[in-house]
Amino acid sequence: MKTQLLVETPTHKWLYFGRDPEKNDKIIDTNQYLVQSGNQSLLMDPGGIELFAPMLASLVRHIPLEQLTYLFASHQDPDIISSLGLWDQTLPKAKLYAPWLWEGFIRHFGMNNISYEPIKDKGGKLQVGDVELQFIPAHYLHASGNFHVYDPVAKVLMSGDVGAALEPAEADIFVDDFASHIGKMEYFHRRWMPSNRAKSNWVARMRDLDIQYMCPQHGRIFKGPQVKSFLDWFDSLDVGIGLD
Amino acid sequence: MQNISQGRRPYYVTAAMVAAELNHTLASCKEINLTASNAQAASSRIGSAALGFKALTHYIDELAGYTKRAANEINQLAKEASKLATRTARTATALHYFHAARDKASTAIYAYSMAGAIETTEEHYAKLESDFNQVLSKMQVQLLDLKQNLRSANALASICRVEACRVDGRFQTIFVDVANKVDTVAAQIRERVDTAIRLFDSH
Repeated sequence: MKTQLLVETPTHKWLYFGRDPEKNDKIIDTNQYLVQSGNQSLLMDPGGIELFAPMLASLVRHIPLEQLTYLFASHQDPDIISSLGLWDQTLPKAKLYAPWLWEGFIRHFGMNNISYEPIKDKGGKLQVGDVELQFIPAHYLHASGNFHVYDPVAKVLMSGDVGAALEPAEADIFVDDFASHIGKMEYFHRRWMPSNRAKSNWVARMRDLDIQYMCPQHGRIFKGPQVKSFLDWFDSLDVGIGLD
Repeated sequence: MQNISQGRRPYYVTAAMVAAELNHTLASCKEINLTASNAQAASSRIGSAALGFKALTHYIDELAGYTKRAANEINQLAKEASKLATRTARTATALHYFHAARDKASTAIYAYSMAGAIETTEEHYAKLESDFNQVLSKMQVQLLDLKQNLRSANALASICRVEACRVDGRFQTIFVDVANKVDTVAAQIRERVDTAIRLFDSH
């Protein structure tokens, strides 16, 4: 599995994991992100069961497992968190932050040891080592209970399925040319995002944040001015109409 | 005993199938109970001429009661075995992924930090497997006991037929029917029990 250091600050760092070359072709490629600070770490959208072994093997190249203290699930989909039953046996003392709305559903993946920390609809904050991260509401983008993670220090937004693109698993991890990338995102956003109202509300809130890296769960990472290009494009896109 | 995660079908499926077979047995027990009640009512109507038969209805009832208790107990064991086998299969899956991760991370600086989770899971797996095997053995013993006890049903049916001959010809059919019913239902239960035993044997 490919691993890359995205940002490093004096207090913490962001790591990217994805593009596993041994992944079964029939399952969608996913990006996982880790924030590590001091003796604590947060793994965001840890992935599906099929990805667990390469993910675990990649993690221990960077941190000892006892430092993986928090998990985050933006929503309840299997590509996000179906590996929970395995993490549950790996990290019995960890905490899972996920939408309150999905607790009864996510627990179906198997959870006897990890504690579920429900995130309220309005969002919340989490201290990971020396950095305070924010859970930003992104409801209906695409799940009805959905959050993104924002780091105001490193200026990184983990944007879940927003910004996702469907392309081969060997694709680069950064967007090179925004205009040509649109074709890889359009169908996904039209089909998976159900609400124009939710989308506009989210875009307006994101414009107020200082975002240098926008990191979706599928596809490529947007850097610098590409973030604004994405917000402009998404703002004007009519979503919830993927069936026509 | 085979490893739980091996075999032609997973053990949790076998245990669930055994539980289903024994559920059918419970329905048959109710039939025997009903038969005994009917026989008792008929004996009372006939009066002193059917006193011998009336005593037999008590044994029919007892047989039904025993069979029902035994089937219930085995059914509970089967459910427990199915749950244990499911948890064992899940733990085996976890171990499979842990071992894959350990192989992939052989050169990783913090690979040692996986050891605790792997060891705990291996211990958990061994404990589950041992618990499952204990429940399985208990269940197999009880199935064989039940089968053994059901043999008395044939004897009971034969005595019913003898007693039927002693009552007035008008009532004989009622008692012969009772004997036949005991025979039939006992055979049905035996068949279910044999199927349950075969399910384990064929694993």
